[in-house]
Amino acid sequence: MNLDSTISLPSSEDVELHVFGPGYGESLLIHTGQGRWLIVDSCRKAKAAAPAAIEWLEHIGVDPSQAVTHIIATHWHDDHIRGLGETLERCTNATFVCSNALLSKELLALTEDAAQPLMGHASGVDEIRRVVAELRRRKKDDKARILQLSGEAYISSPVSAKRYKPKERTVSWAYEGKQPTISRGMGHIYARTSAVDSTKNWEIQLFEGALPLANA
Amino acid sequence: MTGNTAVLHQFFEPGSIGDPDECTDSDAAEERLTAPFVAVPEVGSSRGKSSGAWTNFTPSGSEEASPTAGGTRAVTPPAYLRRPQAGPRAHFIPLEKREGVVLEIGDEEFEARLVDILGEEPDVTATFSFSDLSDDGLRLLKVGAVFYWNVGYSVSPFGQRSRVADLVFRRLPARSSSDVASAIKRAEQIRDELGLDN
Repeated sequence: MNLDSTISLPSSEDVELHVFGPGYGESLLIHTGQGRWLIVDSCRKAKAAAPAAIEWLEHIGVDPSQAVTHIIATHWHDDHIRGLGETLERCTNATFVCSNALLSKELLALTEDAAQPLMGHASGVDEIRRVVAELRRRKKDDKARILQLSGEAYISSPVSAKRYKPKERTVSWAYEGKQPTISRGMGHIYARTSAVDSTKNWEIQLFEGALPLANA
Repeated sequence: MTGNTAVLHQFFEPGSIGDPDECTDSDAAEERLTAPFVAVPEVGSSRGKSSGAWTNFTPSGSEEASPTAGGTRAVTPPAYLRRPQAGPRAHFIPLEKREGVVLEIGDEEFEARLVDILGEEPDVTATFSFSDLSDDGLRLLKVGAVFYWNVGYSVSPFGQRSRVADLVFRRLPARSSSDVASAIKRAEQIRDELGLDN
């Protein structure tokens, strides 16, 4: 299969969903129409040039600094925030969306304390600090756009359709059947549909091929 | 693609944490000495120190000195002691490195969330038996404790491989109340800068 013949930019009316990750979709990239994109969480292959979503956008010739309107951080787990700081830095026009907890005083104090000398910490601390540093820099330039969700609104990571309970103020994507394991390493799947029919079940066809992504 | 037909593409790039067959014991090879013998100068003798004379070490430990015709002591040939050669060493070939956080502790086992340090695998939750821990590890076991879990091959100096899993708890420096208060103050300053209510 010739990948290049299948890759095309979505039309202005298409909704396109990309799922990246080493497991079941640790990061999403969504074309919401009119050339606008949003990114949910972040993941990256070790030693990759950029986070997976950014790498894909650049691969198809889309400028993340202009096209990405929102970056949504669902929760603070290492596999969902790797590269989140760089994603925010690269998407200079994006609004940063997160729960109240992610920028709470308690969590910021934790990351500040963990960053002290002699305090070993996981990469998540550095990612949160990088996000905060970028938001502070934008605030000085009066360009910071932060949207914090109250405790009544959620954005969830992928969930099984059997366990999924629709909530009025929840944004999530659910899968049916066995939890989709993309691949060992960094995987990428995507689906496209017309915005008009985006509420219908999407017909999915699977293709395999060499991945022009990450540090391949 | 047209209409509401959606196409989902799946690409694979099989990742590889590390191929043990590619590992060599190059470190040990580099440390092999090309000169296995070294000269040992005499110690404890002023003459030996000043003139650089040498003393023969006999198996019994006694000293020998060779007089010369002029009444001066002849310098005896240097004696040599064999330095132990650096041969192959035992080493560890990692296959998987994860950082764990203890979530729940039961009567005989505990549950932990494991984060792949190499970033190749998704986070998983796993259960460990207390028998996996050393006595030292048991003392450090508590909810929230952080540990490292390494899986790989232990290679003996003779090249024998055995697959092992190593679980070691991290010891964090103690934090004083002033450290915590300072961090909270910095957090409040950040929230102020971002225009968030404290």
